[in-house]
Amino acid sequence: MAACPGLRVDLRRERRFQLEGLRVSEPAANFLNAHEWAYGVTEVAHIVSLGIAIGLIAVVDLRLLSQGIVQVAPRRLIRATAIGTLIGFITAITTGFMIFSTDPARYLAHPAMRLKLILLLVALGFNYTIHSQVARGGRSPFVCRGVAVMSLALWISVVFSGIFYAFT
Amino acid sequence: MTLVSVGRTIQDLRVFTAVRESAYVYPVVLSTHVACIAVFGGLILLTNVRLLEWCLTEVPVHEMIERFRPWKQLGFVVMAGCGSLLAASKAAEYFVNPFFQTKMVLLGAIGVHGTYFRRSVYRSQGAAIPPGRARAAALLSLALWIAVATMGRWIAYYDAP
Repeated sequence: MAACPGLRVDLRRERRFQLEGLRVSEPAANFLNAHEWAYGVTEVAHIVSLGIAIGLIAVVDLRLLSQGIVQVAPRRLIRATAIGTLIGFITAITTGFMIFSTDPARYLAHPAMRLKLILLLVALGFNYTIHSQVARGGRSPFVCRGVAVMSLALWISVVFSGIFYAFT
Repeated sequence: MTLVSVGRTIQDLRVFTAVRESAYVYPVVLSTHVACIAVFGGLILLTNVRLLEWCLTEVPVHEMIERFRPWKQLGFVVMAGCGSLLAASKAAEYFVNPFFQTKMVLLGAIGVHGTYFRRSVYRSQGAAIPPGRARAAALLSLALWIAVATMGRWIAYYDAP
């Protein structure tokens, strides 16, 4: 690889052209581009479902901060909300990919969208490892608070990078 | 005096002009507005799911409502504050935007909803809530909030003729 430093760049450019071609050659092949209402409905579904997923996680975070319904253990709360959170995630990610497919080259090339994807992966990983582990109980209030703040910060930053995509 | 001219007078105020024209304030306010849906929407959802008796039935409804109330109020203040800033900075466009107008009517309907179900559901103070009332309040609340979010997103789709 070191012998031909230009190779990597060429491969990347090649890939960009392929994606570009996908968009330019078949604009109407994408359902969301062909039907005006479909794009708006998909965006709303994306926002509502991310609200469901993040909102239910935030209720658990509030509980880890000893706020909200303190008479219920975090362990019980995370079990009660898990299915709703999962449905929210699946819908948000599916609709996210649908929106992404309308113009993949533009989305992939955009730094805010790349940041969003990285933050999303980190937030998802955090949610299903450390966050759920700590919510199961047996940790000090200090650890619970730290995890709750971290969780809220991660999810809010995912939303921010999603909006900033449209402005930068 | 038309809606557009009232809107123009508002959006020409120095503070709203500054919000509209700044590279960062506008997206930060908009992001905060949307992040509020994500962070505080869960409180509304969980309350309504509890009213429908779908989960956490061991928690009395009035306790959940009272515990969540201050956080819902905080969320609403931040969200409405950011929303007002966004609307005022583009008031001439927004006031005549049918999606924006519908959103405002729906927010009014949410106010009516809260007042209508106040005694029987939201300030029951431990008294038994009639199951039919609880279900009606929950389903209406879910429908109204989803409609508000939908109209909010669609404001961006309207092109003035």
